[in-house]
Amino acid sequence: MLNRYTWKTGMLEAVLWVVALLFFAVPMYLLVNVALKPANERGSGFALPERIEWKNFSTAWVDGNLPQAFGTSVAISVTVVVLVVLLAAMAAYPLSRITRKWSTAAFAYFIAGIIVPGGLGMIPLYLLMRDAGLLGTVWPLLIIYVGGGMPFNILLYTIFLRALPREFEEAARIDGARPMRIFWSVVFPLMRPVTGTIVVLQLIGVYNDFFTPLLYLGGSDYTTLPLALKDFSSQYFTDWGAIFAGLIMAMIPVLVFYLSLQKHIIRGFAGGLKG
Amino acid sequence: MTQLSEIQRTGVPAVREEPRGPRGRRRLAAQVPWWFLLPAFVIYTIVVVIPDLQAMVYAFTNWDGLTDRFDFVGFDNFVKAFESPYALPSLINTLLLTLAVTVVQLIVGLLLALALNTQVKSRNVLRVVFFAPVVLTSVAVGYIWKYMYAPTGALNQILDFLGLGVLKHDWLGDPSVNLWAIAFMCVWQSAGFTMVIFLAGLQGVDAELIEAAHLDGAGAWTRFWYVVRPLLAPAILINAVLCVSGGLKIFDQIYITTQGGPAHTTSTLSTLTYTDGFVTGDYSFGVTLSVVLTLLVSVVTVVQFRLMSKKGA
Repeated sequence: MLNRYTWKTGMLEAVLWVVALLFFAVPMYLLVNVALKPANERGSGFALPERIEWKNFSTAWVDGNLPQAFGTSVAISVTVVVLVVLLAAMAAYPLSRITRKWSTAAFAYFIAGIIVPGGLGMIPLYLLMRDAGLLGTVWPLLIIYVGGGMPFNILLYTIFLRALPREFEEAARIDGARPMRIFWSVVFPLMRPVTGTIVVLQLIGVYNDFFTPLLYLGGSDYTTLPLALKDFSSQYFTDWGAIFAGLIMAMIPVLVFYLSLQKHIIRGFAGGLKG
Repeated sequence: MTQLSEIQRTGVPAVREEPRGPRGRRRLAAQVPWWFLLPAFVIYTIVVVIPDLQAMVYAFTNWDGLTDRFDFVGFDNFVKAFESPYALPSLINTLLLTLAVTVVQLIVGLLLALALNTQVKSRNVLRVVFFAPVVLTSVAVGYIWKYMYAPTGALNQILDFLGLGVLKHDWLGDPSVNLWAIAFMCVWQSAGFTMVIFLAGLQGVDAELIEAAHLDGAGAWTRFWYVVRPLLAPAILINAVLCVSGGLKIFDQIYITTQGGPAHTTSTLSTLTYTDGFVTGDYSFGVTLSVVLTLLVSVVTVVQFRLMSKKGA
């Protein structure tokens, strides 16, 4: 009887839509509206523009260095996802299958990285990269994202593999497959659900990260989207039109990705946590 | 080869409790290439383990970040760091911000989850809407709210429109409200995440239990407090730990909106580490603050787990 749709449920639904409107529609309306307004049109951000100004978008695109930022962000995100999946899956295989003492110890060594918050080693790591002459290049970002991503993603893969029956591997072995072949053709494809979760979390995490590029690319020729957006505020001090146009362009890829895969993405965030 | 015949007979390998005794397992294990974990081991050691250990050692030395020479100086760095006029206020701001974000986000996330765990028809669409800010970069969120919070910005316009002009503030400039304004913005961005964890937890709550309590005459609040809440305890713990550890480390949103200002009124340990430790090149100060922050996160997390397991017992 509690599961029926009554007038009370209807009321709740109406209230939820009002909240959703205030919560999301108002900021989004302002974002689009201001982005379409000419800079000389002052007044309320709520008032519709008297004439639509597309120039904000071209200004943001060209002066904001967005083409380069897009390219760098996408290249870094994709490279990191591929490397993280590869290295974490490979490491999890022996960690889950070998039961010797050293294997358990190695697992604990990786998991310790989840407990210690990132940021602790930030300054020594920065100095290491400085001494290696890598400041202002994308190398520190790749290395840090991949290395920092190891603990959590190895944990996800290892938990999954421990629960996965070994019979598939045994069967392949009896059929004469070599260990490498067993991993690539049998084990790796079976781990697809975890791989999906990791791809989603890493892709969105790296694409949106602001702090690491701020440290390593600040003031250099390279920039990522969040960093390019940050630089807007110094370039156009109060030109909200150009800033918001830039924000919209940077948000579109991730929103399209989110809306087209929403179920998997929400499940990925929730599933990544059970680990 | 009983196993093989079983596969041939049924076409699928049967799942067994114990695969062919320890010897069979050892044989398979011997075939697993141990060196598969080497690449992960090397990069993780370089990027995470060594810098973390260095930070913990440097915090107790007079190392300056430029040379390799240093002597141990005990807790001098910590004493010195907190002699800086901004360290203590930043610590307090960090704790207040974390507390506000955690409490509000847990309540908002729980209310949203409870509301969407009903027969509401558009619950899937609403879930997508409320979760959306989670996938946005916090730089974008920071800008949107910087605009909303401006003295002549959208929020004050709405308040004027509603006839609530007395509530108008310079939301990011007025020290009496700016920290709470930042907390609200962080909740706006992450409440959807908390909601999704709670929704997953609510899936595990047996509808028949709630039904039974309802038949016994329990009202909505009683049903929630005595039936749903205890069953939701694991989800509450996960969310609380995530809110606290995330809250203690909030950086992006503050950096984009106020950079810790005006006059350090919104500065936290993370922003202070960056602005006064990193940018000025006072690496020793920065390392000391990041050790303090790490201790804080670890202690609070351990306490949370302790409290929760005591309650559960």
